[in-house]
Amino acid sequence: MKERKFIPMVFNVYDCDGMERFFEKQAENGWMLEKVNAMGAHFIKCEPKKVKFSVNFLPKGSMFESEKSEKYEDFKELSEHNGWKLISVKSPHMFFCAEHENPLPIETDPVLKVKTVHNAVKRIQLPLEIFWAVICLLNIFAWGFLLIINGVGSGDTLVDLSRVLAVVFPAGAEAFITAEIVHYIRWHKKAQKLAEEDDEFLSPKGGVTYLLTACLLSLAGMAFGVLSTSSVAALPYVFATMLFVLAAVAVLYAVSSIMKKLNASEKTNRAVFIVILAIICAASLAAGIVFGALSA
Amino acid sequence: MPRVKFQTLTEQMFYILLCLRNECCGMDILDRVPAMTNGRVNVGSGTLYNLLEQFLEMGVICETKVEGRKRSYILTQKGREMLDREYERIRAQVDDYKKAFEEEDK
Repeated sequence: MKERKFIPMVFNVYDCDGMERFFEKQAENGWMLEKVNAMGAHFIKCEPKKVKFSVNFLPKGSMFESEKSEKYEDFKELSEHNGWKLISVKSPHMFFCAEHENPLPIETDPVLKVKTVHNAVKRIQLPLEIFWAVICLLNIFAWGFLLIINGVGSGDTLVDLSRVLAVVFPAGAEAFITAEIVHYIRWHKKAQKLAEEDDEFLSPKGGVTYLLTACLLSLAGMAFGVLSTSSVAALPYVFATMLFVLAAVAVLYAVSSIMKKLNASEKTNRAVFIVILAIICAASLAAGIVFGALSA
Repeated sequence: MPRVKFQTLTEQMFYILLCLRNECCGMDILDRVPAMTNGRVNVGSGTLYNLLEQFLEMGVICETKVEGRKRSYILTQKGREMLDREYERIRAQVDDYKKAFEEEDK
């Protein structure tokens, strides 16, 4: 009999209500939340029970904030005083549960709650979306550039299926990211109005994150881009570049995670992250230039 | 109309500041606000954390001491003026209400 299970988390950063409902349903089915990490949520077998969950942002918290920081500890102590038990911290979220009936909500001011969510989205989700949107646009521009160089009629840019998919996927990803940003802006506008006029919080109902879909689509686009390359000699360089980027991103997040565990300050962690990211971008650009030269 | 920051106080803000006329920590506030209002007003821990940070930033309250995890705060002169303005605003509303109904009753 399985005692533990793991479920990947595919919620939007701001869909705290969605996460709460998901954890509550799991508890009703006999799976209690044990911890949350970068990959997803870990559950442990328990008696089916009604548990209230609260997923909160640390006001002005960021993804670089150490889970051991004093800010989290202060927030936790205040919430425990009101009967909430902290289960896990995964910056910028804190996951609380209460097993008694009708616990006082952690957030009792809808206007402040909307502001806290908005600040978190501006600091965390939006920069990621913009970064990914730029990657997709670069893919699309590169495809367009090839189309112009090869000539619309003469080349196989519009005929070869893998070449077509190399632009269809990033274009789809771009559409997903745009849809996500529009979806968020619309929610924020409505939520702000409802909080100010009726003192109520509007649940975002974000569901599965568009960003994840966008990442998968753009990666697929890059893969088709590689498959469609006409220069066989350049292929090892392309694969080496892709491996380098993947490894570099893994290193980037590993360093950030280790710094959080070492209780490094938010500013130091952010600065190190930006420096490593700049090195990755510079190295990728250099690799791209070498690849371009080899292809030509 | 968007709420202009602290131009008018919400009930939760008002009672938090009222508690801080005497030095106290976050947990004291969580207990004192419902006690002062017979349970009519409750402040969630996240809301309190957020407001204390904002009040500190604006100089409405100041930190007096830190004992382990326990941080204590007290109202500053600026905070007292803010509470007084709110009191005057509420009193003006009460006066207008009385005047309106006294005239009707005559």
